[in-house]
Amino acid sequence: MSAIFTFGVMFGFWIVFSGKFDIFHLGMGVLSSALVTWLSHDLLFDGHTKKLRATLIQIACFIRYMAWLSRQIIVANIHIAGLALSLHPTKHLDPRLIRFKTSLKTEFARFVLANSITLTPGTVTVRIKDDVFYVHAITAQSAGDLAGRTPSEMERWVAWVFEGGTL
Amino acid sequence: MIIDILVITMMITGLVFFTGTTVGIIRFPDFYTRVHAAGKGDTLSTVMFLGAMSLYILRDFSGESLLTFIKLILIVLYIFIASPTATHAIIDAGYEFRVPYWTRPSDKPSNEDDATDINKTMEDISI
Amino acid sequence: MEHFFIGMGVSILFLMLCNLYRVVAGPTVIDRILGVNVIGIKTTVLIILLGTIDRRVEMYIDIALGYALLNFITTIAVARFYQRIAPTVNSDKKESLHSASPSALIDEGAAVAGSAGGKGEIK
Repeated sequence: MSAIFTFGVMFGFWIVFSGKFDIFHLGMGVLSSALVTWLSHDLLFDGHTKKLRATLIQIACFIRYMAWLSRQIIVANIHIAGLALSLHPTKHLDPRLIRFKTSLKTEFARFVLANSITLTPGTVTVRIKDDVFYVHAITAQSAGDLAGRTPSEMERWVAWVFEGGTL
Repeated sequence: MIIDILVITMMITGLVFFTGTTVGIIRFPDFYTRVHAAGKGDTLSTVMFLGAMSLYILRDFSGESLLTFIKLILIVLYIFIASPTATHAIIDAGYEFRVPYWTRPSDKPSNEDDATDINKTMEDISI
Repeated sequence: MEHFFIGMGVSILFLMLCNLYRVVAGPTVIDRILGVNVIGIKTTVLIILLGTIDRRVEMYIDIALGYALLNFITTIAVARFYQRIAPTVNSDKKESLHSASPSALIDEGAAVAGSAGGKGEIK
């Protein structure tokens, strides 16, 4: 199953990057994609793949999460540009380091959460130690969203996408 | 015509965010806040620029322009994954280096307009 | 439209020059890495702009893609390298380094540290 997925991804990349559709180039693409798939088919998707249906549902959930995240990214950019272009930036800054424990189990979900924290307004992930996140926040307000004892909104989203939590 | 206006608007928006990034990197007081400016300002502005480019390329539609469009989308996706990761690596290295940390000079309650409720609750938690 | 693209390219070039200030004058080496990373991302955009001006985007875009990949790899590699040699560079401050480690930085049970008054500052 994972081999078929890997072959599809590799061949798609080959077509996009070569841009030629004659029989010679496509044949070379099939050969090299098959070689790469045979060498490393368990790298791209981990071995214990779920059913196709579950994977498709997860991708759909992830696209919905991306829609929510892109709104956050726009807010973050406006926030940081406003801070930088304000007259006295140091007057509005109040940096601090916060720490919180996550309930996410899998490595990939933690990776997505860390990258999402970096993209959202005013926070950058500094370090992850097992299940503890160290986050640098640029203002007190942006720290307030993450510092509470209950899981933040973003963590609930990630848990909903990857681990079947409730939203 | 409409596509031209859209392209120009998106590019100018991207340029504003690029300017915000650059000014933030120059003006912010310490390393950690500069990382904030660099890590966030670049994603949206790059997406704006590349989106404007892809609109401009797709104006005269052909197979080749479609391939170029797909490659542009690949660059956008790649930057979306790579930029936070690079930011994370840089700030982690700086944290290991013990780069000096800037805090507010004093917490005198001079800025009443900024003193929101969350500020108070934060101090309550930390004590 | 071409003139507009040229103006955009010149503006980005000017912003890159401004970023170069941080690379030259950055207090620490990590600041310099940060400046180089930001310049690299702007270069990716600039290459595609050049391709549009030159009307050969399909060639320039491969260069831009390669540049984006290399920029990311460079940043990761240099940041990891300096992260690894950081303890030897700061070996004279070993005591303060330990007292400022994350677990000591934040009170157990409290979710927030490093607040404005600064009882738990990094340094």
